[in-house]
Amino acid sequence: MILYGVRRVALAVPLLLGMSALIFALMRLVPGDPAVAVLGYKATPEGIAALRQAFHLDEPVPQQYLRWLGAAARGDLGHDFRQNEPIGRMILDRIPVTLELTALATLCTALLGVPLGLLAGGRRGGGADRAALAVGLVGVSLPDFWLGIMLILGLSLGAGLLPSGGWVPFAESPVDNLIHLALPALTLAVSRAAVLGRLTRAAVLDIMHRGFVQYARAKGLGERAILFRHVLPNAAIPIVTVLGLQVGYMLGGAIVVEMIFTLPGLGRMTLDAVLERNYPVIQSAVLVIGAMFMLVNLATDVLYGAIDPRMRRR
Amino acid sequence: MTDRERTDGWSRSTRRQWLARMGGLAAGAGLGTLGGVAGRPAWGQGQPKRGGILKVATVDKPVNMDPGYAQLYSSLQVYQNVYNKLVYVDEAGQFVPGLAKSWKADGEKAWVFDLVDNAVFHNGEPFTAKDVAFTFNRLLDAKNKLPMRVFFSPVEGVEAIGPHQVRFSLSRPFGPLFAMLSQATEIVNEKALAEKDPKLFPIGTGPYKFVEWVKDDHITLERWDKYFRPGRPYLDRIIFQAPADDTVRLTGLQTGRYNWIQTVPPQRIPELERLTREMKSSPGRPYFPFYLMLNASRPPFNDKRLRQAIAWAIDRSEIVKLVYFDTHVVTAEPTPEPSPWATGVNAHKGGPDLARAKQLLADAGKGSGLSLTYLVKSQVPVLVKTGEILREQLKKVGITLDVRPLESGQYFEELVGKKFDIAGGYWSVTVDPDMFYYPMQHSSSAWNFCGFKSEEADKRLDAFRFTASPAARKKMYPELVRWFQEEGSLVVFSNELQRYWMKPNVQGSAPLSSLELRFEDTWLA
Repeated sequence: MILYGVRRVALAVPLLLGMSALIFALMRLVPGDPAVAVLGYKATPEGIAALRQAFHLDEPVPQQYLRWLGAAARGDLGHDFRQNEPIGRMILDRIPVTLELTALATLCTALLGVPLGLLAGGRRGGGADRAALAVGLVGVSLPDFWLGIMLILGLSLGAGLLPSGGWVPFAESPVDNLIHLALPALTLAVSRAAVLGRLTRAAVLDIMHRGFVQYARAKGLGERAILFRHVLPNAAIPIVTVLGLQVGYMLGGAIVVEMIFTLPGLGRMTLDAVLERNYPVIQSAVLVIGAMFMLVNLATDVLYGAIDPRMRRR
Repeated sequence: MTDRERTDGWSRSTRRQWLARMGGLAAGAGLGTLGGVAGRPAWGQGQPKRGGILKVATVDKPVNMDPGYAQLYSSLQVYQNVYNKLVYVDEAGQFVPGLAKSWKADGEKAWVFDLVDNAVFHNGEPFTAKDVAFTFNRLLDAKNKLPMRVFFSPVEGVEAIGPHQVRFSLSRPFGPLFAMLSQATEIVNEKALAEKDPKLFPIGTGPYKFVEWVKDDHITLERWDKYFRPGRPYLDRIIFQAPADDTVRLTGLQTGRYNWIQTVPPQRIPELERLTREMKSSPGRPYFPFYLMLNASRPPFNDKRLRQAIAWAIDRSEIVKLVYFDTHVVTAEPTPEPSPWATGVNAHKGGPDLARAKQLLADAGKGSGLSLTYLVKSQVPVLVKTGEILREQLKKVGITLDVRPLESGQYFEELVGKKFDIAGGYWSVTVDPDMFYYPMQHSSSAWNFCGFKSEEADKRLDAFRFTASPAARKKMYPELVRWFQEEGSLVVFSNELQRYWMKPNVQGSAPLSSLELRFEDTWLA
């Protein structure tokens, strides 16, 4: 198991390197000079030259990349263009918000998606199946930005049940923290839960036709016991796979949700950096988000081994 | 209640307020009236009351709290409540006392300011003339590379001539001195700057002291109990947030998360005006001129006739109606009514006049048609849409307009490099019209993106700038407006109405031509 984990971590290193090179190259392909974009109306030739020199933008791109990579490997992600703040500090300040939002949204996704899929798969063709399919279809079709605003209008403005945004750190008030994250987490979770529900349904249907299920049924076990004791554990691998992928997508979706609910997280910082063409911040933020995505995938792979011992031998 | 809870307005009382509102218990308040209290700007009803928290939602997030840099409007909006200036501009556009209680000219090239003697910095340091001298000498010292220095080039020096008296010495008479002073010259304290990084921890003499700045979330200010103006400010706290979306801001106002917001989506204004129990707006004031920049540094707009053809061909009213949903006023001058600088001058009165535009094109040898580019920053969708309307309007006189929305880096490269024919723009500094014309039309200015160079223009602008007498400047201004409308390379087409939106119980907040959000006089009923 440990060897398996080490092998997966070793594989992540070249992936991260490739990703960082890709991000770096993509940022350099955007037309226009970032120094001019940052200075705006104040872009005098001297000002542009000074900024380019200060941030090494006057060096050849491969050299810039190696310089950035070397510093990043030492834990120095550099300083941002605008306020000259250390980017490492900026990310550390914001990452707890995004991580908590993603964790809560993952929990909501699992709590909504898995029962939805079990309900539909367990009673194929019935009213519950059709209703679950319809709910799933609608859920998949809802964009985060629209759903977020609708939830604010309905649950916050209309019913006055939950706050329309803002952030309270968990350490300051756990209850307020959860109340404030309820709508953002729900927004992020709905479409992912719909996908998970459809996948769970398909996995359940597949397992339901297996011989051991027929045997359990012949043995006289009730449908509920079959579903929870025999079908669900066997459907866990695809469910965990999709949930793991969804966590990655949620890290991306957090950009929109953090903006709508004004949460001071990594997503909002990234979006602001994109709008300001704050290269160093974009590079570092995307690298961190990418690394988090990889870690989630790694955790998913490791979890496979825990769920199904046969996977460890591969 | 903790600070954090206060930032989002979500508490039990908020829910009660909501229930009360739904039950029709909350009293709606109508729009206030224009008026001043003892020469200070104010807009509100009833007797001011102490206490309460103003939860403000601005458009952009602040970046730097050091007034020496005056880097972004979003920063100024916050720290102008932490610092004081020597003079302020009121709602009527008149200069009123700040840290300077009175002033007098000493000849044409010097001003003496008498300062208040009871102001105290938030670090406990008493305010004296030395602070004023330090502030301006810091600004004027080229070594410090402070961007505001360029606006005070005629100021030779500032010296303390008494504990509470300073003298400004000028190299020549300087007409817009008071406008400059009222715009962005907050008085700092040398010891405070040395103690803490002013970019992060502003320390002034202003009505509110800085409490905390949680990046990407909020900034909290608290009433300064030793404020030099007795009884002010009224609010206990101000919490600034900057949600990135219009709808989020508006919903926040409706849910009580904010009780003051900077803007609303323009297309929703008619509907919001009917929600008098939920919100109200300040009066709208035209403090944001929108204009077209015609690149006079190269053909075709180095020919005055073609610049005039554009001015005659555009339909300003149509642009305002279709793009700005009447949140702008149609105007041809940068400072329309009710500015004290309004002239009513319009050299293109009666326009659009397509026949005249076509004639001018023909006279310039472009009667057979002209292809032009319209440069615009893609992040400003209203100016992109303006370009699209303009394309249709110019088509009628045989001009083909290629609208080119560019990402900001490319946009500034092309604008600063003068690689465009027409560009859309807006300006935000109009306390004195010199602040509009001089930067954009004087041949020596770095902001003259049109590349417009004319000895006559420089002569007129210098005369307007370097005349001390306000009366003499007022007299020469209408002719200056007309001259630039006929000869210059800017075509002003509208002016955006600054209009703030707030809960009905928020009093004493109105737009100022300095565009500062001065919450010193704001109170909650």
